[in-house]
Amino acid sequence: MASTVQQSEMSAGEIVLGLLIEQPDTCYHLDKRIAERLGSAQFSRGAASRAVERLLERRFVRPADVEEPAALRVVGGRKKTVYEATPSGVDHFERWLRASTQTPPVREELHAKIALWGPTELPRLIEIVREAELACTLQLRDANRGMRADRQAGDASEWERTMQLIVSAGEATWWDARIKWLQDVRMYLEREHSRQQVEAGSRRTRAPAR
Amino acid sequence: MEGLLALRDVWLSYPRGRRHVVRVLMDVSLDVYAGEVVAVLAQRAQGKTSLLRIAAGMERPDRGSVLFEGRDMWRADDSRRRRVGRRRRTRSPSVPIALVRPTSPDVDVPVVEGIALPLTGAHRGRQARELAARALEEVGAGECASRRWSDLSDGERARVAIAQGISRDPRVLLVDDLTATLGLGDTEDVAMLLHSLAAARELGVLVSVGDAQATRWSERVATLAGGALMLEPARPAAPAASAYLNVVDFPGG
Repeated sequence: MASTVQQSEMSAGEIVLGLLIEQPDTCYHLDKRIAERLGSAQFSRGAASRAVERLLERRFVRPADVEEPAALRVVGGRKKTVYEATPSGVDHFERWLRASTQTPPVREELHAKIALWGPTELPRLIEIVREAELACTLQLRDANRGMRADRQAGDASEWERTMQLIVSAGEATWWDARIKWLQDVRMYLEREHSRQQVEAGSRRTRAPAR
Repeated sequence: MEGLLALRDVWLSYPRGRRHVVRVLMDVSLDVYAGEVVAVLAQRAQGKTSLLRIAAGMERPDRGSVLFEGRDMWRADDSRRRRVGRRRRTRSPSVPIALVRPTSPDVDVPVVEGIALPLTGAHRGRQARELAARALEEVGAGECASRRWSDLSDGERARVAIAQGISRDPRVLLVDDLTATLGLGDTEDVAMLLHSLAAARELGVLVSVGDAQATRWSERVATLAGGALMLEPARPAAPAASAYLNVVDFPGG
């Protein structure tokens, strides 16, 4: 199967493929592994099975030899298919891994809302920004917890520990930048709102603002 | 349930010039429980140090209360308050809270001596040095004991500063942006150290940090900006819009 990768794009497909190369697995367990390894990417449950479907179409994965009893795992009382990567899947993954990465676009809801928000109703925007700041803080906390659980599991090799540190540091930096931006936005908006109130007050009373 | 250390509705502002007031803390409430690390993530000049000074009882808030084990530090008798409120921590503080800051000592003596010196009021010289050496061992800086401050790396200095903090056996440890000058590896080590000290000593730890990397070993993360501290559990409702009026510098306040 042809797959030419110059500059890569990432979907759940490549992640699932990479995890299946590490170790053949069921869709159910793949979802869990994605959450453990790339929790902040927030792939939904079922993302693995959708990815596997697409990978099957492209013949990058196949059901592992079902003659092997180990290939069928019992999950919640039902037998589930274990998938493995095909040679062309391995080939595609290797190329994806080695291709230069794209610079991600800043394509994000709150950013767009702020860009399009008019000068009115600032309190609502401030509230939205505030909620987002708290939500990011909770995401950071969850990422921290996940990282600690990994570290404390203690069965990782030196290489795995180093990679865990680097990957989770990347997540922390991501939330750090976002939280700081949201704080700045909030403080600017609050100042602007305060200014508007003072102006409105002085127009009403003609008395100097306190 | 109330924390080992609790701030309740704390307000703090500083005058800036004649016509401006900087609101540093607005209605800040915070609990630190024994055995946990709480990190306050804030940018520069957003009140990190003020918050910790208030938590340490070194600065009195304009309004609100600071409680240690449920007792208001500032409503205790006057002698107690004065001792707590003194700028320099002296021997056997009446409230067992230690504040660690990234400062260099005035004299460049061997590290163990520097830690032992403030302990000599309450302990004899040899005992003080033993306590200092034990604190250094506990933070994994035992081999720094006989070296001078000027010989230490940034990571070692951070450990030594923490050793000084725990040498008085506090119940609450406040750590003011100790990792600001550290790289990722040292930041991680210091954060892990505080995490394990909190667990091993049943210590309540409150750290202020300028970077989310340093929050990685904290049980809870708060943010502080524009006078507002946000910490889970989230407040039941966002404050009314009018509350935002007071947040920023404003003339004449």
